[in-house]
Amino acid sequence: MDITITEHIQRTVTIVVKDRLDVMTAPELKAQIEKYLEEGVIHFIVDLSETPFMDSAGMAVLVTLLRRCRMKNGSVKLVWPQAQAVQRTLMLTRFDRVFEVVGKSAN
Amino acid sequence: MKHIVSRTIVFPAQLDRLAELEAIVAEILAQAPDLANAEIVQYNVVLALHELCVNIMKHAYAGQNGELTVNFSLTCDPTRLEINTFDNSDRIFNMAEWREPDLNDPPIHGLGMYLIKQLMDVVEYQRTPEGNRWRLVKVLPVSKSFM
Repeated sequence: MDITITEHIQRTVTIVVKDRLDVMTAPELKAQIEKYLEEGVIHFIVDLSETPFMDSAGMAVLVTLLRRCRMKNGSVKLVWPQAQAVQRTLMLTRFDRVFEVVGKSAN
Repeated sequence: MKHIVSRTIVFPAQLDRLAELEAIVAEILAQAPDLANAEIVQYNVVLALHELCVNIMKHAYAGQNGELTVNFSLTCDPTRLEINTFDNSDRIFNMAEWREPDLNDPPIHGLGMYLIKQLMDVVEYQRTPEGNRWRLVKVLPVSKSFM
């Protein structure tokens, strides 16, 4: 029997944002992400399910992460927020189409 | 147009002072009669004002010391909230050059102004002899039981 088995282990980092993601907190998230990017991580899940508020500075961190991961054939998935207002912000900016989204109903 | 409440605050242009504005928006909107979707409306107004003030602090004042005046005016018939901001920066915003971002390839910068325009019904900019004036207006939805 001639069998070739190859096992690929993909490192994925999940970041859960339970606080506001805004101009005050975005630098901290950016620094955390930078640490993992430098380690070679290219697959991320950003869990926004409990994020109560997000502004354009927070969104800029997500866009930067997406661009850098895609350049290396990586991926960024967003866990869909529960807060309706945050959902609306993400839809207004079409983040729900640009990012791979988890946990969003078809409607 | 009947006047319900008006309030003006003056504060240093510092990011850590933004939370104070959110509390004031909440206080003022609480006086709007039978506001529909109150939670979402409040979030949207807060986010728009937050984005505007961050822009003023980061771009107009460019991180330098400055002062920001914010005037809120809640009126009815129709129910609407008007917010005017005044800063003393010598930097001019060129509204004519502003372009809507390509959301299929979202930019790292520039989403703030886009959000402001999406979330508010009127967004106007005026250069004055003293600095910059922004005028934001949100027509507030009234619950059907009130109509």
